[in-house]
Amino acid sequence: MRRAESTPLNMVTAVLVTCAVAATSLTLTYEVTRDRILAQERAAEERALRTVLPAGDEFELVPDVLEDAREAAGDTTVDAVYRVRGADGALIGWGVRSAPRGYAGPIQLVVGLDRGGKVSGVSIIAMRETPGLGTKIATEEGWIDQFAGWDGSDITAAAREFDAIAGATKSSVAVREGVVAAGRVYADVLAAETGEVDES
Amino acid sequence: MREWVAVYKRGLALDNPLTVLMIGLCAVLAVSTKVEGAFFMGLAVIFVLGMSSVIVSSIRHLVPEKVRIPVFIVIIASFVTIVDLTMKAFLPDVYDFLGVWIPLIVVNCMILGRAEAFSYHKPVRLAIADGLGMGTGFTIVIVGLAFIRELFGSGEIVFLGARLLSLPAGYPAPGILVLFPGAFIVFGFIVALTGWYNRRTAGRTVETSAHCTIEEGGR
Amino acid sequence: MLWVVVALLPATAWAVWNMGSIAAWLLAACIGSTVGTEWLWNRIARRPQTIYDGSALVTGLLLALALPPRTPLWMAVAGGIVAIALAKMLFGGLGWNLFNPALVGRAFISISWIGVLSAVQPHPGGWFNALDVPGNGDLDAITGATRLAIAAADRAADGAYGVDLTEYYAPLLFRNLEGCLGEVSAALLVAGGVLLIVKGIIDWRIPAGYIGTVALLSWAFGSDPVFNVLAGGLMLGAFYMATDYVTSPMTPLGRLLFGCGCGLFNAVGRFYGPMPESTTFAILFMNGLVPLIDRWLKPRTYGWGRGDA
Repeated sequence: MRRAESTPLNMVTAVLVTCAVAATSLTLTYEVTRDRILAQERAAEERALRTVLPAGDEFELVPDVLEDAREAAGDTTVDAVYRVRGADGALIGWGVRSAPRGYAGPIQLVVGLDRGGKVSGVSIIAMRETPGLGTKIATEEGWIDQFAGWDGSDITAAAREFDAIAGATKSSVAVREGVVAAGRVYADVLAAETGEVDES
Repeated sequence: MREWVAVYKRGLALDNPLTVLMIGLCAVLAVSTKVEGAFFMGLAVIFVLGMSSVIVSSIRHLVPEKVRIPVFIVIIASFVTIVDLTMKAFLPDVYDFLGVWIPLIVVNCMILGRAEAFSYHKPVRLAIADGLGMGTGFTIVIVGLAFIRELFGSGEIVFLGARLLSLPAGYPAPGILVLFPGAFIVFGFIVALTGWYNRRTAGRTVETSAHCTIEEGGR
Repeated sequence: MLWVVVALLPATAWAVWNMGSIAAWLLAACIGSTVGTEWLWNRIARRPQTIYDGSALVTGLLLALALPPRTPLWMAVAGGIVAIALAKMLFGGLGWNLFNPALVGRAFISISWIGVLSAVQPHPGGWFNALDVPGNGDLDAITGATRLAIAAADRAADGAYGVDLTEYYAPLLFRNLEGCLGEVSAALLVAGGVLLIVKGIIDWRIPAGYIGTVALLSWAFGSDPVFNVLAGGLMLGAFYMATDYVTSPMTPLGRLLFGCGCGLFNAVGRFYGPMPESTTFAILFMNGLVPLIDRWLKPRTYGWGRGDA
């Protein structure tokens, strides 16, 4: 069989047909996987929130404070703020999802803050740090617990005492920046919100 | 059948895409820090390469030469996107690790190179053999590289959350292995090993009419 | 090669005298591993034995001088093996290596076990001496930080620590115990370097370009040029490592350019890089550019056209 000639008609037809078939199959794949992908992302986030605020039962996105939160955080990206309620519906704290810049791209993490603004824990959702070095921020026993207890309303003071992992200074400092950003968000935005929630 | 096997086997050693043809290396150096990531990267490449070889080969008479590259790219990009979405849905942790390297399979010259050099000119039967062989050769090398780098560079191998293998505690893992220089050094040794193996088996290889390298295929 | 050893001998002996037995062990480990690796390589590859040309000895000596005395010995041995096997023999032996083997060995150690070389604990005294480093006031917090790290911390804090760099001149020149073996006395290294220049073994253009550029840039960046030239093993790098004939350019102009390049990257690394000790990588980087420099500045054969290099 001879190959189709490169006439304008043949060329246009070949490209159009290929694109049409490709688009159809991609749409199908997207439809099939979409719900699962969303569920996975949501589950990863909830797992992280549960680690940092174990008493939490209900995690609710608060989109309307996001803009203020971003402003308060300064250079560090803040992706989401969650209002965390316990099983009885009472407010027990806040979750701030930030993405400080690590050694190899953003480190996605969730910082939990209790009602009084004390950091209750930090959990890393995703990162691309160097395996065996930068990844120690997640695997080094007890390292990430050092942030627990930092006072969100005076985060700069708390951040002065800080242990970086040898060889992974940049990754360590990035996590600290993420926590500092969450502290700033608490001080500037969430502290006031906490009062409002209580009143309502 | 003998020809099929011969084409398949070329991708493993004699025409190994990574260690002999040296195409598509950047992804290999980047994701071979963990066996887990390397393994699924290999599977993704086998799938994309196998499927695109079949499709390109089966429509090779219908695609005019002047538009063949755009057509190849659309086909490859579709399969890559399918892999991308599937992995995101079912293996989110692996997906996070591989990150941008999955979408970048589209521009991996290995896949386009095989479509251009082989599948566009050969019957479907052999195109499958070539796609699978090249994909398997890629996977063997990338997993081997990752095995050495992860085991000796971080002291243990963790696969899907399970610790498969670990060196005694206190092993002073040389961090250079998981950094880029380590990738180049270890890869150099693997290239040397392939060269040695190919030279040793040189007399025993079955020459096939299907042999077609990039230099011959490209114009 | 022997002259290089002779030139290094006073500085080495002075380092061992002051730092004590651990420095001697480090020297033994480095030299033993480089010479041993070369011997073994030649045996296994059935090549003529090359250890008697003395280059493996020099590599081992330079590697030891580029390491702090507290470096664990197994680490030094690993560095020596990498220096010879990876950086020299795999490339085809002496004359074929692209990078200075001793520096590759040091780079290997510093990347592999991050923190070991830069956060060196103060050495434990020695056969004869207790530690007598001038007090650094507030900087006691960073015990064991090298002088460069102290200077960098001070600079980052806008001089808040009040470090007077001129106080470091005399120790750096004659007796500095914080840092590598090759940082003990800059004066003795310079003396050896001058001997090599007088003997015509090394080209003055490389150290001159190197040290001159670092001094100039330090001044331009608002730091103390004298301190920057004396600190961080720069003398060792400028006189003994950058001048390695195999890994430096062939033409006089090329050598000057090479020296200036080393100085440029060294100074920039010091003031803007993550690690203040940037001598190793500055020279290694320029080693990589040597073939290019040689290509640009290739002497034109009389009667032949330009630009067909």
